[in-house]
Amino acid sequence: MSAQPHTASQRQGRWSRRLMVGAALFYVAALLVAPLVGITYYGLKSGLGTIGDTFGQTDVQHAFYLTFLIMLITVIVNTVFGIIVALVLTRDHFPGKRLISALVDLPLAVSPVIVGLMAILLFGRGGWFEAFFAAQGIQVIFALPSMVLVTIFISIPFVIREVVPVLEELGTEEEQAAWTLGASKLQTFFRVTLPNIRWGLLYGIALSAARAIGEVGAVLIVSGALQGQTETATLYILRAFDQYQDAQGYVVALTLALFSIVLLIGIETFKRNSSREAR
Amino acid sequence: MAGSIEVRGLSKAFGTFKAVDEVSFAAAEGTITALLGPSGSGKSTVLRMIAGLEQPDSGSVIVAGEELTDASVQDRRLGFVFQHYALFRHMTVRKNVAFGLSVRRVDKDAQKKRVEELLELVGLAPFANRYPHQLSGGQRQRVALARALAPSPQVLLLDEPFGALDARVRQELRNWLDELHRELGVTSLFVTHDQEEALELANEVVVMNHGKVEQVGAADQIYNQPATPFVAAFVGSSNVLHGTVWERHVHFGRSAVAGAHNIPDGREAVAYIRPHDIELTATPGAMSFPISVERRTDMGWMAKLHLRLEDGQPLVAQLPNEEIQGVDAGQRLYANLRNPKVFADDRVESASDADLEPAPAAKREEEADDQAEGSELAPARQG
Repeated sequence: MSAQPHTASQRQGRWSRRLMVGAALFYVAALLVAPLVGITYYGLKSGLGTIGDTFGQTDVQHAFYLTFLIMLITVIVNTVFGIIVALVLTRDHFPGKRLISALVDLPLAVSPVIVGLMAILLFGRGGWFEAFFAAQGIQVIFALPSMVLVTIFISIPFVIREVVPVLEELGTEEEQAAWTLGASKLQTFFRVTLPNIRWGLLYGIALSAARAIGEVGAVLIVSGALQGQTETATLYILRAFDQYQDAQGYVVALTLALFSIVLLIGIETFKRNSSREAR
Repeated sequence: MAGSIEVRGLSKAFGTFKAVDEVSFAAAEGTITALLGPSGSGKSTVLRMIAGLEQPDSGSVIVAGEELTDASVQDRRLGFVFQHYALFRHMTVRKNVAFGLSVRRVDKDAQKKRVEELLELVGLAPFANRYPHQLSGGQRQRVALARALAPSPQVLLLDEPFGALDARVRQELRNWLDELHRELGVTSLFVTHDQEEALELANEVVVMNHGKVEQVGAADQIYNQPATPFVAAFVGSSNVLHGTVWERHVHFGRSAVAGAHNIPDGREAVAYIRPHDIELTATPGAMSFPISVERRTDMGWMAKLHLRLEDGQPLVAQLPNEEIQGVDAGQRLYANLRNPKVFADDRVESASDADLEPAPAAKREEEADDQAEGSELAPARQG
């Protein structure tokens, strides 16, 4: 570049950059920050009394209990199986592997409502597995099992998608080195593989948890949203607004949002650690 | 704590590609043996089969008199050093070295003592609490070596141990490994594509090509009495001269070299001539060739001369400067070719047609495609 006055194309470049930054800021502010500010405002506006009242309701307590129970089971199942699937996808070769790899992303593409419907078709009245579970005395639909099942389904991709690239980058040499030093496959996994994938794994777990907490559509369809029984926190919010109890709805929504923000901060930390380690 | 290594009829195919084909050799207790060959010759696969990281299709692996062919990697208790170190990146140097002891639940105090001892041995005691990414390549490889030695293996296997290092560190580490071996006496088998490395370090060299053993012998044997044209071309640099056999001599136009034993008259043959086995004189001798000097390149204490025989074949000589004072392009001189290695032409492989200095060329090729080395294995992984 010489000391010439700025050319037209340079000026144009600077303007287009400003426009891009402006658009990005507007987009984020309008779509993400404004609702967050709104929900905080309305959640707190009703005052401490309402907040206390809301959490005093057994329905609300049960809804939170259910939400976190479902999240916990989902995260455990998706972590264990997510690691197994990721290991199989990166370390083994078999026919149909690419199909499985593609199927893992299915839950991202399918609407949760459809997921709920699929569960009804399988476990509901006249479904393929209805008779089997009925014979065991286990109620699946309109009960915890189906709610957990659809939530697991919906959050399958997160752990796998985060762990696979880390495993690929890691390669197998360290594991082979561990074997030659006498470490069993299990020792190798816990002492070499797991520590190496831990940040990616935690990132995937956090995403999975956030997704599980926020799920509405699929859970609504399979649970029947029975007040105090199969009503999760998100379903409670739906009902609160339906019944013109906006203040309670805002309080619960704000609580969930706060929890998600905490998760988000965790996610960012994991992500940073993960990318630092990838070097 | 040293044991011999023996490999009998080892074979391994990846799909239709025969990576290792009936390989047999033995490495005596306490020696250093080199597996030398170009990229894709199957040498790494042999090493990995000895370690148990790869399962042979047939043949057997015997270490210290014990048949290990079906033993698991873990049970073999052999030390293995990887080309790219394969250090545990989330562990400190100390933890890395201790790993082989701690997975075998060695007593904590004994562990600590052994680790200190090894860190002292490889000169990395001050770096005990560093992480691998805080070390240089040479230091990492020394950690890898200490880690492999910690459980006191009977045998040390090294896969291109200096392959990922630059030339100077490579030479340094080579000398260091030589000394270390003298001190410890652990039977060592290392894979390399660098003939210089093999000749310098190894008591015995196993030359491999296309999955087969070409020759097994001491360094000087491999260099001075190559068993096959491939060995003649691959180990050390050589000129390749084509001619016709007549009365146990290979004739090129009006000149000839001796050494064509057991080759019938009239057959085509090749003679491999080392660039330092050329003697230049101003007057003709009993067995000398008239040659013309085309170019002279000075390279410090020696010079490279591009010569041409009367029948048009090129010849490159590398000689100390004091032997060729005054020799320059355009001169017509006489060359005496010593120690020709002669082979009937039907056995000549394409590899031997390489120009002078095939080894550095092979080196570059190998470094360019690290995956090529892995390609010995890749087909298996991809099924």
